[in-house]
Amino acid sequence: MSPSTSAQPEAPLIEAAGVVKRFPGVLALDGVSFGLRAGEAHALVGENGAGKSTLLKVLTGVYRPDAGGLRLRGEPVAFGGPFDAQRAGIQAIHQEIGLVPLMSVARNLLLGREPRNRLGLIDMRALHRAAEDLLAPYGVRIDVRRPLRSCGVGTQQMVALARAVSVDARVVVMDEPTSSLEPREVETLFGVIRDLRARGIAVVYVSHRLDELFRVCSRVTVLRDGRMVHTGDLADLDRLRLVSLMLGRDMAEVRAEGMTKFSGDHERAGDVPVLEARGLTRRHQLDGVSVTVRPGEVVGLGGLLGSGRSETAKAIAGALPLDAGTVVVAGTPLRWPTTANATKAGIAMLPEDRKAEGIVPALSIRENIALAALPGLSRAGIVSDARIDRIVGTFMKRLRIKASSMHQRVGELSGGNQQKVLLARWLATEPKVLLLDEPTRGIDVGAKAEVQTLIDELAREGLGVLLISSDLEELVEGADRVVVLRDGAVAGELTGDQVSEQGVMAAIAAEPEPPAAAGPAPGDEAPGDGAPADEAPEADPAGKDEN
Amino acid sequence: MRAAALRDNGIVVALAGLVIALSLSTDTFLTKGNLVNVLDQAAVVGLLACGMTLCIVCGMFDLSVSAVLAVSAVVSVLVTKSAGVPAGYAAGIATGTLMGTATGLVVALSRVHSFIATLALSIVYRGLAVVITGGAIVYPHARQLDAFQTLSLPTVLGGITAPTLVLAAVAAACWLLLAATVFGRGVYAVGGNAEAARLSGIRTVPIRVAVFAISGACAGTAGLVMTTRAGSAQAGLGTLLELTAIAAVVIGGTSIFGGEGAVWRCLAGALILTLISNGFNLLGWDSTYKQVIEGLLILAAVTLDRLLRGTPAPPGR
Repeated sequence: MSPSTSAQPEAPLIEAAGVVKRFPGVLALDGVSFGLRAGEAHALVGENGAGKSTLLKVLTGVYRPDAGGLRLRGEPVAFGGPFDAQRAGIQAIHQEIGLVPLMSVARNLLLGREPRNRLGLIDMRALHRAAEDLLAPYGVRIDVRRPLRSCGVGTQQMVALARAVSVDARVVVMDEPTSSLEPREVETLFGVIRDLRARGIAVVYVSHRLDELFRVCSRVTVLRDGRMVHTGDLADLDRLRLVSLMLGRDMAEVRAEGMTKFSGDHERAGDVPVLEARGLTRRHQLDGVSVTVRPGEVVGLGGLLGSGRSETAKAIAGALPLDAGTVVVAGTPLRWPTTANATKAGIAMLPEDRKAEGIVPALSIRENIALAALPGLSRAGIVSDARIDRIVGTFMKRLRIKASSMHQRVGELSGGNQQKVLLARWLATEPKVLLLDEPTRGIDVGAKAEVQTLIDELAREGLGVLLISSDLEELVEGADRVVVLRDGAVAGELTGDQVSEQGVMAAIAAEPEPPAAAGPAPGDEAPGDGAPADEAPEADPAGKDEN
Repeated sequence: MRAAALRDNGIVVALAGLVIALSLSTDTFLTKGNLVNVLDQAAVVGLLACGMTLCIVCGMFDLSVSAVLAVSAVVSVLVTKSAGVPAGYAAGIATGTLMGTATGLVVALSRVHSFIATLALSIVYRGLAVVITGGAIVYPHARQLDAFQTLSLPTVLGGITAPTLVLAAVAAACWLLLAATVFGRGVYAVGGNAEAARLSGIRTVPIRVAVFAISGACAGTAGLVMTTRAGSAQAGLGTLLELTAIAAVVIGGTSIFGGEGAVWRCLAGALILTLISNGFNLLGWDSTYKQVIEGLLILAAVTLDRLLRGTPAPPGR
């Protein structure tokens, strides 16, 4: 472990000075300077495409700057690759990187420095003891002999963090560390960050969640369009000011329009539901979930991670085999639930995992948008290029997709633009119901506002929308009605004035079966939930495999 | 963008370079006889590579094609003996298509990696060919031989041989399928991201089965070309040609990772491989070195693919 007792707290541990990085056609970083002091948690924020990822890659040795350079404790350095950066004590935490999923947690933690016995073989008992000691501060109580792969995403991330810190880290880079964590795990992570800071380790913290920044970070650097627009103490900014710096928008404008872009209630149109899901049941995942969506209505689907929100959406879209339950679209039941039939019936689903389930990265924007609507854009199996061009052009304009042309590969776009491409893919099918699973997760503030406005517009045009969001504010402001799920079953439905952040949280936190027990003492519940919560994220990949 | 341009068009430059080099270094290359010969020689690999392109774009490999080729050839000879030449031709192609469909069903439904599944099936099919022939060489009746060999002869079109024309027709059909149909878009999408394709309402199983069926039909046609050229068929026909076909696809610049590629690319790849053989012959070089060159070429093509794909994407993610 590094004895990095910070002698001069003001001298930057690592510093980027006037870094310029160019990619074909794009100036990704335009003279960005960034200093990181020992023992601070430094928020790095900006819209997608602002240059955050590029700056992180320069700091971690993945990219070499075209101009400007890095200084490590005042000494100029040039990293030849990620390995050099790691040797200099800069560790990046990505859940997958640097870990071997098939090996045990303990082997992963001590990879390359396993304790040996007299014969030079790995001393398993010492290995497991050492691994347990390493993990103890991270609140992860698991059998370290288990293969890493069998652990939940949150646990894997903690293992990566524990390993990085134990390998002489001076700087730890965390890119969206909480995006796949349970609230309880988030608390543990924040505890760990405080601990790292106390030991003089600097943390670079990238997140789209403003609350988190204000909770854990002391300083902030805002990037916009490849330039550094602000750096300083976070305490000197309020949320509104931070958002306006990121967006480059006027503060008064932000205040007037609110933090989300939803206008509020929609006119309730026809009473005939456009979507009726009845008694959706699947072992271990869904237990008799029923949801109804009327035309022109936005129905929110709330609940914690693993409560069955995504599974409900997938089941409705025919992507998850069911043990029981029916899906009725505009009065007609889906007889054989497959994605092809659901699409034909007018169901469109924006999946949660944009990369794995949404985009086809090697194909162009044009091909990606046309994908689901192809049967309607063809005659006798031959696709009509003219019709595709027309529809793709229309949607690129309407959704304001930023790209060099419709022939650009989708893999090259920013997250927000990829999400818009996926929305366009589904809107091109002229659906009756739109299932949106975390439509604004991981996209920049500007695109988020645009997507929210669009959801509003679509509902007003008569589309039925089922909105899943972990962002309570988005859920509450976007939805006319909220169905709350817990452990794969409907825990409550909120309408009218009940639709509020407090209402949703109360429904989630309410005691399940027994009507008694006034005080549901959440402190007692959390540790008991530990094991199943840990397992929850794995239910998803398993479900995906089913065809 | 320069990397992308190199990836997209490098193969055309290489092909042109090879043609120019051979034209300048030999007197015989640019003769009508030699060119007709080159095109004729490229036909079998070209046919296999057309089907292979569909499989690889769809994210899968078909290692069973040369075994399918052998079975189809044997069946076409046997049917010719009992029912005449036209029936024999039809039976050859039908056998290939059926076997390809079977391969596709096994791969799509068993979910074993296509590489392993088709490797196992190729052994099964090759064994089947031995069973059918009893290990012997099979011939059509002597009186049928001339008619049977029609498919290997020069045609009225400037002496270009029938196999070349068959390849042109098959390649055109595959190109049309892949580039202009809903099915073709589905093939690219399944190869590029199968889960995204499934969630977009694309039926992935029929698409997977279909690309193998097409690959089988191409193999059956290639078998027909080989057996009519030889006037006979045997169980060991075309052994290892599946690897040459994959090489042609890869050299042409179709990505082995799936989701990208085109039919014309495999034709370019097949032509390059044929031109190398042809060059060795015309220049009188020791043909034992030919394999070294071919192997290095494949390695270079795959490495280039990897390198160009490894170039940093524009920022924003």
